[in-house]
Amino acid sequence: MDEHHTIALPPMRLSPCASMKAWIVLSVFLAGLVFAAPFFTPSSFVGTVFNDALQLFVCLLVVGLFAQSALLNRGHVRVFWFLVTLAMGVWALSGFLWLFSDLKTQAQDVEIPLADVAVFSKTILMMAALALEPHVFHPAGRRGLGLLDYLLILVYWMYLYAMFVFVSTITPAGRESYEIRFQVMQFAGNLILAATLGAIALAARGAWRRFYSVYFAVAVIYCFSSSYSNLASLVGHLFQGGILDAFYLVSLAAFGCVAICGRGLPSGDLQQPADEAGGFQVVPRRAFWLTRLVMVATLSVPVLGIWQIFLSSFEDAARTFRILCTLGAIFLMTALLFIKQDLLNKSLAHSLDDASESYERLVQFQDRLIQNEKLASLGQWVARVANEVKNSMSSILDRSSSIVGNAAGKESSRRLAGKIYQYARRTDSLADNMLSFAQETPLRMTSVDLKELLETALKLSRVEQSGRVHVKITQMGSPKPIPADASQLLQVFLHLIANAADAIEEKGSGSLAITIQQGKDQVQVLFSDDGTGIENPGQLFEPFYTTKPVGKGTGLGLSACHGIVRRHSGEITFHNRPGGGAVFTVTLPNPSASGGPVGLPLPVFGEEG
Amino acid sequence: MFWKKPRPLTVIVVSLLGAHVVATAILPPESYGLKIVGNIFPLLCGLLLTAQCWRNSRSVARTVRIFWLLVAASFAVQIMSQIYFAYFEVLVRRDVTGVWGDCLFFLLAVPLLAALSVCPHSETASGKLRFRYLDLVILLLWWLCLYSYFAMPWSVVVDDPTKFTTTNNALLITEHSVVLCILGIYGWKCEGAWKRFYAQFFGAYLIFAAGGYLQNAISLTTSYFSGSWYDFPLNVGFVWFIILTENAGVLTPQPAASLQKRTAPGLWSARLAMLAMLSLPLLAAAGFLSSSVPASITNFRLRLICSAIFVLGSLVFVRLHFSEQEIARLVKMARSSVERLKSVQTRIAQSEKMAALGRLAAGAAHEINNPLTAIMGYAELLRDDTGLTTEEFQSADKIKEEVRRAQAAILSVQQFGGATDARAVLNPPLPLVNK
Repeated sequence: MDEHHTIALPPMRLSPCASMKAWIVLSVFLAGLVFAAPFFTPSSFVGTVFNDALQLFVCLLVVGLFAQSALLNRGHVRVFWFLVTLAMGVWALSGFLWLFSDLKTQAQDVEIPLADVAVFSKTILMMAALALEPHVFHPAGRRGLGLLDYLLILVYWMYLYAMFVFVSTITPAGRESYEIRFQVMQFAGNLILAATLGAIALAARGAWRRFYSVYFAVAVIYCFSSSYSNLASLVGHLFQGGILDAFYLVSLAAFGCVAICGRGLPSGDLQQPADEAGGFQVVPRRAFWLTRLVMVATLSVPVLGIWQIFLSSFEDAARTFRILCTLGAIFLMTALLFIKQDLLNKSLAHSLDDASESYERLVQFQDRLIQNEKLASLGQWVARVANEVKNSMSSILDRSSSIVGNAAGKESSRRLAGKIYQYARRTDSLADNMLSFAQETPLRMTSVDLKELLETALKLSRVEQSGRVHVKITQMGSPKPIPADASQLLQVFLHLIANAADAIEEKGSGSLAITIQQGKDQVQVLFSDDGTGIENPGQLFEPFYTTKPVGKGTGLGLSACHGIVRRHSGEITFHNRPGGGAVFTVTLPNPSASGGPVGLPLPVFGEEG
Repeated sequence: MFWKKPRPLTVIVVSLLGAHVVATAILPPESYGLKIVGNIFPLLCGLLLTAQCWRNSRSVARTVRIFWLLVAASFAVQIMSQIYFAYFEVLVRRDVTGVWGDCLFFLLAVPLLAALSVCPHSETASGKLRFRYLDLVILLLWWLCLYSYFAMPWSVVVDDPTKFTTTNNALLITEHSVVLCILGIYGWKCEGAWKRFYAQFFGAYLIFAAGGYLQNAISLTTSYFSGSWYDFPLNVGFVWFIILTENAGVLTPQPAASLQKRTAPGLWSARLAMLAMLSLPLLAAAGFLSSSVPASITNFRLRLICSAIFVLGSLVFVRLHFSEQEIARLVKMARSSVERLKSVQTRIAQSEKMAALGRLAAGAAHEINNPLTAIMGYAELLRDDTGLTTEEFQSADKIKEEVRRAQAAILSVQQFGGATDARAVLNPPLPLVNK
């Protein structure tokens, strides 16, 4: 997966492989020079200067390589490379100090504590770079906490160095033990670095894993070469070339391989783990042990302080140094803990807000769900009521029509009964609407001949009885029956016809052209009238939208039609005709259609329909 | 509710005070009898106070309970200090040596500070207080550490009573000022019974602290003896305390509405605690580098600070651990509620269509009422129309009956829906869940 995340790198002159080869050849050549040096220069002084100069040269080259990596990358990866570059720079500084002291004193075996401090702080800087964890995704805020823990450990490590190694340089008595103390500490530092790298390499994935493996190998080689040559120096070895120094130079040059290997590493920020989808991150397991380690380290400082006060003699300069060191370390660590606690507190407040917010939202949504379910059951109740209303209406229709039909009855009674009949019809159709909303009755698909259905609708609607509306049904192509729910589709057609008739009657008189078009895989039914048109097309299919006078329309008809057609996987569209009037188009899918005429022209509206 | 009629305890202490006044007036100065009176009176007062606080601590509210228990602890420390003095003056019959009485008198205010920081007057929302308690413990330990750092060495390591008394007095004044400040702020902020309580507490404590300071200051000169008139400010303070405590047993916390909402749980108390910790190494370094102090005291102080840092550091880590646990719990909670939210959302999406249909159906039902009313009206007219056949008349009645049935059915929908207008049941849009 890492290949996908690789950032587009600026073009490089050499491919990593070629640079690696060039670098290896160069290192081997330089190591050969160091190895051969004693054979050519009998003077140990020249040999030492040559050896130190070569080491410094290699160091500077590696610094250059790291700096290049730092420039090529961005974000936390850049900070990582920057810290490593700094570490190598400090190392080069120590090399420079050695060379300088060689040239100045022209003597062997001088101790330069400052150079030692530089060599030691190199390890610390490298550890700090690792603490950044450039390969891991960190949600906002958590990186800071992890870094603080690492910083605490580093402060503790420096404190230990000052307490047990550097203190020896203060008193003359301690100087004898200085060299061995420093070497033990340095070995421990190198070992910890190598172990950390190994652990990280095991945990990392992909390109980063390869990189850390190389880094680990280099660190192990360096750890051994360094301690080996240090041990040799204890027994009187002089750094003037030879196999030992060649080995050391190679281990130094190996860091260059790390730099070359690390080109084009993906940033951990881009590898967002899959489980981050919720936007939350649990405290990682690793942080648990780190926190415990920090706790033990921090609490051991005052204990060490007490131990110093009890054990050392009173007039010791080393004691003053140690006590001040302890107090300084305590201060620094407390300050770091202060920051850590503040961050944690803020994070706590944030989490508290988050939790309460999502809880509130949950409650809100649950309320909505309850309301929805209530409404849904209301729909079922309405269906029963609508049936009851329909029963009542059919009874009323019967009785009122019998009064109307009684030719012998009084005129006023017949008129009243007629009114009753009219309103009962309306109530009945409203109840139908209610039903169509209330019960999502499954569609009963049958094979429907659209023309037949339209004719039925026309007959039922009785719009032509008034004589003011002329209706003409045209069929283009040879449509075949389509699968549909005949009764529901009939309702749609009835409604569209009634709508058109209303529009036409509003104007006076006119015509309605109904056209059936057979498309390739769909059938269109167009209702074009030359009535008044629709004023507000945007709201047409919304429930409760009506332009009819109060008491006449419910505003539910068209949205109900829309629902029915949608359930047939079709759609109703609408547009106003330029010459006045409206066109409703019902499009229904026709899966069984086979090779009807394609791309028929829109029907031209005839003069008399 | 305050000061309605004298309570039994009030009567007792006031008469005791009267007896003390008489004794001081009659008995010769520095006599053994006066010493007994001078030592017994504060001891008795302390016992009565502690007992009364203990009684008050049987309150319903948790914070008030803790408050009274801590106040009781504070006066128990006072009793101990008084016993220390009484042991020397009454039983051993010699002048008081050693500083433990003074130390105990200093310690008295520490539980009192803790009691005040509980904020018994306000109802706190939840049990998220353990962080604040830990901070409080850190601060109080730090304060004790300061006392041990500045005052204690002058009696424990090097015997220098003058230096001890001056540092002790300085620290005592600081401590009393802090208590008085807190009391003043509380009295300022609170309302009603609690305001009166804190105001009186302030007054009583002021007299008490001034009396204690007066005793200390006078005891440096030679004119002081137990049971003298110099004791009276302190004793009046005691009496006031007892009367106050006896009347304050009925106090309950006020709802927190009047107090501003806390934004983060103990952000500032934590910072204060950490600042206190930061001051310790600086203090130690300053003490270590200053040359005016004997080496033995420097060593004592270094040891003290290192131990204190160890203890306080452990507490800080406990606090960090609690915070992390709390965060983990909250994150887990937020996560689970997001998950539940998602499932609820899915169910809402599923039910939305049915709900919309229900709404539309209810709306349609509402529309039906109009034509029904019309039918009803026409049916009435028809029925009143003359010249109908019997059958037609029956029909009209039947029509009316059917309309009534339909109307009843529609009414049931409206009652079921709980709203007569379908638009009223339309839902407001809900916020989207952030990913």
